Amino acid sequence: MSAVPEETVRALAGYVSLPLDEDRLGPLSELLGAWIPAAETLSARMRSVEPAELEPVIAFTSAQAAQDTPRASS
Amino acid sequence: MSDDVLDLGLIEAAALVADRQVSPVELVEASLCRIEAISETYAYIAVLADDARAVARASEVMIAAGHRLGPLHGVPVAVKDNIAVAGHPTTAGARILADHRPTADATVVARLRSAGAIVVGKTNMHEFAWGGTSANPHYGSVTNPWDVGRMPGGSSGGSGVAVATRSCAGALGTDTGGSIRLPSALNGVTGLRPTIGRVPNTGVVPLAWSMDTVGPMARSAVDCAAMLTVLAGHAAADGGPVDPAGADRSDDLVAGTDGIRIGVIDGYSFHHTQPAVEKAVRAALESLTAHGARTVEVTIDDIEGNISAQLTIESAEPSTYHQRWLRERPEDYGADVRLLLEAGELLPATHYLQAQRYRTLLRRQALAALTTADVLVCPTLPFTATPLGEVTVEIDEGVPEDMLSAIMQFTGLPSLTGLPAISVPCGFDDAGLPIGMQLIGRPFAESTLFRVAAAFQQCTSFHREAPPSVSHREAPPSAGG
Repeated sequence: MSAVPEETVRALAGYVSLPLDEDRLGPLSELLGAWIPAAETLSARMRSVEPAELEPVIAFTSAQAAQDTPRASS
Repeated sequence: MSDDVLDLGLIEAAALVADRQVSPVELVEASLCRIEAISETYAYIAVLADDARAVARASEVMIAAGHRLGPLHGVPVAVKDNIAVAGHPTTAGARILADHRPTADATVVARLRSAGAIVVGKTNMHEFAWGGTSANPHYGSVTNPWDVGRMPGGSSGGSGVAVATRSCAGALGTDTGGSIRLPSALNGVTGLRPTIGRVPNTGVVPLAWSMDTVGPMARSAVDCAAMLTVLAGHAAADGGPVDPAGADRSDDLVAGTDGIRIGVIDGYSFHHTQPAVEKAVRAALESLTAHGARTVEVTIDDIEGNISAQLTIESAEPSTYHQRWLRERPEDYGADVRLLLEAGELLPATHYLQAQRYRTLLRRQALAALTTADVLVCPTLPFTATPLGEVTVEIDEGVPEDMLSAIMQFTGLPSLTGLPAISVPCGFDDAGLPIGMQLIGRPFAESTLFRVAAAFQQCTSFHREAPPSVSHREAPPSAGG
């Protein structure tokens, strides 16, 4: 698999406001270079799967009411 | 203090406490001694010695007065450190949560306590459960008691080691992509990933919301069944699907395997594994068929793609949970977890949702396979424990593969489909390292998994073998079980 170009990684990180030092770009470009093509292969297969109405699994199982569970986003 | 009581299984210990032949104080003291003796494995992040001793004394008084709290009265258990225990550290193996002290028990911990179990410690793990080796830069990397130079699997590596070394009679783990089953296999213990929704996640630090489960780890299937009976049942606060069945999973434990149909998945069950692993699982299958089960070949056409789907989902969901910390405290993450969390932020949303659609497709095909088979069989993972610090593994000799992808090869099918799965010790490789067999069942049919696993464990002794450091009274591993 080809690495994702570092400038692409930098741009994507910018779009999600994720600060990345220069030394983060190399490892990320390699990892994404392995993952994204594999995910795209699966995604392409799923585009042609019948029925097209096949829905995603969206059953999230964690407690919504657990006040003690630490939350990074709150 | 004799540590012979540590050779008792969970049910045996509970029965002897009930009969007042063994005291909870004796069990807990032996447990605490063993925890100290295995400290070099880094299996525990926190030892709750004072609390455990106080509860043990109270348990002893209660049982002497004829009052038994429940089926686990007086039995020492350990809890993975991403599961809340009130007033004690719940770090999830992370520096970021080093000071986190929950004010309430997780539902599963409360249920264990209500059944009389005594929590002796919090077990070490892969940071935030995002990894399969339990290499932990903050609390020490957990080592495998069968060979301290090797990893114990993860992310519930501490729980696997805690059970294998007899420092507790049972432990809680969590399983998203395989985190109960992997350390169960690599440490020679038994571990169950329940049907998603069977056991409440309330009070558990999440990894991937749509795949997380809590489950039991113990030395035998019957011990795991006893724990699941205590743990199972929908909790009002939990967001997951409702557990439709009653709590008791013990009905079928002695039913044997006569007539059971074991599905071998064409092109998958024995594909791409180390030879010793394939040999051990095939031998286990022969043992089961010799006792009345029969094998049937089944197909799951779209099994390929499951590793990518796991990586996509297990990246996008944790990265969402961690967004704030990743921006405010990136240096507080270990290098491997930080990289995975950063990568998860950059994946296309359509890839994530196509992976979730793939889960629906895969579940349909798995359920179809389970109309002609009662359980499906494969190895728990395709290799045995690797040296500490390795990030690649050779399944085919001379061909290094990425560890994270390789370790998910067989555990992903239940993780993605929400089906229950159990890892059962089924042999050792030439180096004496444990091998696990995975059995996968229909939704909420854990009793069938326990039935098959218990029958296998009645005719083999792999699950009774102990690591060299604690096997003073037990025979060394043998290929014949």
